[in-house]
Amino acid sequence: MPVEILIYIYLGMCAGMILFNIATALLSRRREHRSFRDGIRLELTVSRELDRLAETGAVSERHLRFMERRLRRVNGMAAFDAALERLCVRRPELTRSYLTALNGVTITLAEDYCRRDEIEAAYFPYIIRKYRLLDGQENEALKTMLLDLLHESSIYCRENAMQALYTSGDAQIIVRALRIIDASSLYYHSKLLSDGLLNYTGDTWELADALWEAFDAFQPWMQVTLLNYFRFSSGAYCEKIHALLNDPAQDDEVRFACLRYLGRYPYPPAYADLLRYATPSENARWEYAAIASFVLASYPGAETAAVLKRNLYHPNWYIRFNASKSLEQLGFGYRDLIDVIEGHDRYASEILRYRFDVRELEERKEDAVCTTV
Amino acid sequence: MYDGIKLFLEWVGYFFIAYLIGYSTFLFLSVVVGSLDLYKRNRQEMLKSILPSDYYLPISIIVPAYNEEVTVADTVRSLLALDYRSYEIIVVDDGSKDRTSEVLAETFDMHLVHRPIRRQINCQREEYVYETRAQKVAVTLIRKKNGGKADALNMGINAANFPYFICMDADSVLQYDSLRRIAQPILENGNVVAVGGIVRISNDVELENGRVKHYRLPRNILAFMQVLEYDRSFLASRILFDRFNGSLIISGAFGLFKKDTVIAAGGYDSGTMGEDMELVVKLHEYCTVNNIDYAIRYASDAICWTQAPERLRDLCKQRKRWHLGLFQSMYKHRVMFSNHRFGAVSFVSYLYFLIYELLSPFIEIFGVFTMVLAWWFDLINVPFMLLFFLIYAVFGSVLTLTAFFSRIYTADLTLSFGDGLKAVCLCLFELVFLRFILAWVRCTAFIGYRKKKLSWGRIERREIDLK
Repeated sequence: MPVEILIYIYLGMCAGMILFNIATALLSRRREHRSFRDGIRLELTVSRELDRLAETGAVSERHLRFMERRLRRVNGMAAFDAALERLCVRRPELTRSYLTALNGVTITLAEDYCRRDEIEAAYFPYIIRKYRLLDGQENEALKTMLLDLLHESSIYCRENAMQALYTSGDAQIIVRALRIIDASSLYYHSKLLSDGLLNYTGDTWELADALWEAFDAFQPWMQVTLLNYFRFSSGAYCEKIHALLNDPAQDDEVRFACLRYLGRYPYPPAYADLLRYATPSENARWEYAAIASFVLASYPGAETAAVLKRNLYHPNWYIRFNASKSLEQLGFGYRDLIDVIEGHDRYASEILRYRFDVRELEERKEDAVCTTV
Repeated sequence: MYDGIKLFLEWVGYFFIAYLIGYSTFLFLSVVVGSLDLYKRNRQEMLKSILPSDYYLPISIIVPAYNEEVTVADTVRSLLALDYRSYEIIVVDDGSKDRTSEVLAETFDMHLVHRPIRRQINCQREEYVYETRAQKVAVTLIRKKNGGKADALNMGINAANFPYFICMDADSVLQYDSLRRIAQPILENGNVVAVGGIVRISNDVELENGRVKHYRLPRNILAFMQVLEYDRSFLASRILFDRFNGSLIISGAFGLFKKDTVIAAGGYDSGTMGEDMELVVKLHEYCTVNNIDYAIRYASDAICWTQAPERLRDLCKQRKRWHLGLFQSMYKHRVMFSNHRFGAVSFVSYLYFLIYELLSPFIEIFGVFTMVLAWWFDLINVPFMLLFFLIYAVFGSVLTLTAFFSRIYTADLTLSFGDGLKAVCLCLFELVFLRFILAWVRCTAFIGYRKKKLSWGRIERREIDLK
């Protein structure tokens, strides 16, 4: 290759990079200016329409057509977002009514946005969630479109769609959404769902009923997700969860989640079973004994103490660790466990000593807080 | 003789043309891909194509420390100011000769505890453990026998309570939202075993509670040039490699790892100087050999601020260590060389690091040597050579500036006109002078390397400018 050609290619690349830099810098600066200006203009326009809404009780057809055109552009939507943010603070009630009046436009736009690239498609459910456009409304078309977004490969798009659906207050649509996610091969982190469900704005009892009704049809990972959600939402399902725990047909992970639930919400009828699970067995996975040892901290009693003390000598670290933690939480002191501390098993003694050290640190913290108060 | 030298130089010329075309094409591609990626992320952020911020995976932060009495308290203070709910801080004092442990225990009201540590990875024994619960999160100090940075990190992993851990340097400061940001790839992809954060240079940057209060580029010229260098390499070997799961380096200053996988792979290698790179290469090998689906990701918005050496002597020491670490990691995992089982990691990442990182200083010094030889025998067209160099330097500078301005722009930092001008001037200087100085330093890295094998790399520390 003649060297001159190489030099020209190099120069071309340099020129290309410089142009790229200049163009992106200029474009982004222009976009920022425009977006700010558009936001202010749109705020004025919507504000005038709010006045009209206050006077006549309706939004003009002309305005609706204008908004439909305007919001089709993602920059227009961003400007609308900025304008609404300010209007929601200044005139919350009227803005709410205005958004209800805009419902038809929202549905038309939803169809359009759902077909766009993943970033713009994700923005639309974000707006729906932020301004609660589904709140208390029978808007099947919009909900169906949000369900469609759950098939997108972008997790941001799917999560924004779920967040929007949580604001619908419709338990059945949530179950449908979870079924789609459960059946999909796309990855969805369990924590996003279990924590996300806590944002549900409707009747949580109705949601729980709907979830329990569909529970058996879900895969184990989704069942664990739901049990984790129940654990952080209500202690009213102990009976059902106790039954699941004792069902050998259930997946081990599901049963571990049941154990954790019963640790958070003590349920006396489950006590005997918890003692049984806390006793390590060669036929069961060690996690049963480890988690049950942790859970027993919520079930004081002589039998609990005996099982936990025995577990302090177990060769598995987690069983030993959780047993020592539970004993400490149950209020056992140095004197109660002197036989272990002074005993022949160094591991049992060390782990217990450490728990008492931690208790002392916690007490110091509480003392410090009390002194400050 | 003359003909022989002429033929030799002719082949050298062909080799360098191929070498430079390869490097320039790679730089060009990586900067373009990297810049586009940064702009895409910026757009995602603007249009809220992000995960909500209230999900918290529990994380253990491990801070290995050796003679860090000047900075360690500030580092822990900055960690306590992080905007995150579920984490713990574990400082491992690797047998410091100064008052690192005492400073920490006194500052944070820590108390001696009899904590047993489960040794899942081999490391030196602990001498004592201090803990406190009086802070926002649990803080643990483990004082152990000296064994090197990797050994200290292994101790931290053994003591970590949570399923993910972050390793960082004791002289670094994490940005207030860095934990949330670095944990995001895990929420996005269940196969993620490691996530790299971004390291930015904090010299002369004013930070308040982990937030940048006033951004300015370092007054020190050497530190300034390192900013340019970091930005370029960030776009080159980070974002582009991330596209095909080919990242071979996660900086020791800020990386998140899945504890179980790291333990299964054997933890940090305490016999290696570049333990950070070695671990990542090891994870590639471990997961591939065991047919584990895995991903190693970069979070380009998870930022860690670190001090760059301001003296040439310190910089040379640092680069020697890095180069030795690179050599050790690549040699130890040489099975990955040209091995189809590792796919793009072998044929792109490993090859790139071999040719353009490990061997490049030798190649560059060899290039200078052949130029002198050619000039001596009057076999060089001097005006053409100068023109060629000039174009290459301008090309490199433009790419460096592209990387630099992309990062400034996408990180929402404002730059003074003076700093911008300084960047334009210094990028040429960095490429023409600093690069060759460092090439020479890296060439000499192997001299006396056995003696330094397990020592901590030391550079002069300043107190961190935290408000």
